[in-house]
Amino acid sequence: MGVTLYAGGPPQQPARPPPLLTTKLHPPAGREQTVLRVRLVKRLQAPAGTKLTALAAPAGYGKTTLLGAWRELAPQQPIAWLTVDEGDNDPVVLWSYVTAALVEACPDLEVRAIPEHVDAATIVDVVLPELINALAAFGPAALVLDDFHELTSGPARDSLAWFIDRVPSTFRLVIATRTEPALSLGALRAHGELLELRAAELGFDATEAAALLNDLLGLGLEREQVEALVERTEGWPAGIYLAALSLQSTPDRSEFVSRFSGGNRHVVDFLVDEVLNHHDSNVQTLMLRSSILGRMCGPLCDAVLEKEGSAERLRELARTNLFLVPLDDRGEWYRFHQLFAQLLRVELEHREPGLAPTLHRRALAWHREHGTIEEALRHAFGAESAKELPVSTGPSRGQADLSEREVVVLRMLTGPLSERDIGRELYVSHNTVHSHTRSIFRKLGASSRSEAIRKARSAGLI
Amino acid sequence: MGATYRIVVRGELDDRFAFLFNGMRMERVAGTTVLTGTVVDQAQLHGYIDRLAELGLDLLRIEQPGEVVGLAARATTQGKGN
Repeated sequence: MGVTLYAGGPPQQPARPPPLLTTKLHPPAGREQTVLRVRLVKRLQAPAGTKLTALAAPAGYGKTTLLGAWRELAPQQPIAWLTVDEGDNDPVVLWSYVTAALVEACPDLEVRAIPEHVDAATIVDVVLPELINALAAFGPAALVLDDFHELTSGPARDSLAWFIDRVPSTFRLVIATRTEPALSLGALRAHGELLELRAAELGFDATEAAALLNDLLGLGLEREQVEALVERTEGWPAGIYLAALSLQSTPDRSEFVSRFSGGNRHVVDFLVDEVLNHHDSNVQTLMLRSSILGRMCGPLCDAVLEKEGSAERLRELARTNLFLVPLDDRGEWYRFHQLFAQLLRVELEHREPGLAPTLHRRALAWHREHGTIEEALRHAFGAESAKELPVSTGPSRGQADLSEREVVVLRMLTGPLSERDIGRELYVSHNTVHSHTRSIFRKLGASSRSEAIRKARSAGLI
Repeated sequence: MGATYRIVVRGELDDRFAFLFNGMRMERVAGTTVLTGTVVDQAQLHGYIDRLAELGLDLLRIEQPGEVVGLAARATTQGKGN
């Protein structure tokens, strides 16, 4: 997020935390409609000495839900939580958040605040050894890093690898990731320090599917119908749940199940229309147009839709749709499940082609006014060049391997602003801008600002 | 600049998904979707793979048609029956 947590305030009491900060430090609230997966929660009660637990599976396998349930139900040790995002690729930001997460879960943990102006080297040389000592003195504790795949930068990952190598045996790091983690799993596996849960194990079996479809959602399906759905989706929980949402308002369920299981269309393609069409047009518009938002609240959606009443619609939708995930217990902030958001963005482009940049511009205006940081950056990018791409991580046409944030910073570097000015403009610290600048220079092979700008222009990046 | 790639994923997808892949051509072939088009560079190709993962799609093959003629030819002659 780029805000140094402890700037200017006493440790553990950031003077003015950014509005979304705390949502990163908690799993989404438990929901009544989720299946308690006892066999998997038991697997997570790993034997002592399991340093790393890796849940590696594609989107929609219920990784976050499972870890949230484990954290609730099995408090053999305090379990800190951090939902990683792109901003955490700055090691200073990452370890500021990790420290904040650990202190929140373990108030007696004796760690010092991370000073504002440290560099990545100091993190590994000074901050991490102190943290490791504090964890050894504290005793059993665990840290969940959800969306670990968002960590793509070498320095951030290296600092984590260094950390895992040295943590005390009483400590457990638990990661949920969509891609194979770039950590030396081989060595950990060889030492019996690794627990892996992968797609094959995370998929629903027929019993779990029946618990969701019949016990929780009351669909009253026959055993064979449940099995047909599991077979068609290969146990992919998101697919089964999409089917459940469609089934809820389908009069002839057996016809639906046989039509669904008989076809070749991809599960998501088959189901997204069905799911959307069960809502009235106001809710459909809200779902489609807010899909460009990383996280959303009523006022933000009102601004993006230029229409009132979003807060109530969000609350109502969250009651019946697990893909809208509440981020707090006040019913203010939500996000769509990443997979569902992506489907909605496809549908948005289909139904309202070319509208996305306008929506981004409105979101940008709202975020500037209300001071949330990461989203402002995303929408600044989205408003300019979302013509062909949805809001998404990952490189886009011609952008080489510069991240979205780096492109924004690079564009600003072409003007008269200093790094400090740019930081102020983007609501991030000078330190963060500087680390982006260094990364831009490295990727472009430039040694000065003017050289970077020249190279970026000739490569068509800006 | 760039090269022609063919990306094959499991399941048949409607053309509207092409927008995620900068308008690559989409064909549905025997329970798979074949995306064909120019990919600017490796960064873009990896971006597409990430996007497939975001949708929970199973990647079956990535090929440059010129190099893997056998598979490509078979894929386009099948699947009329769907």
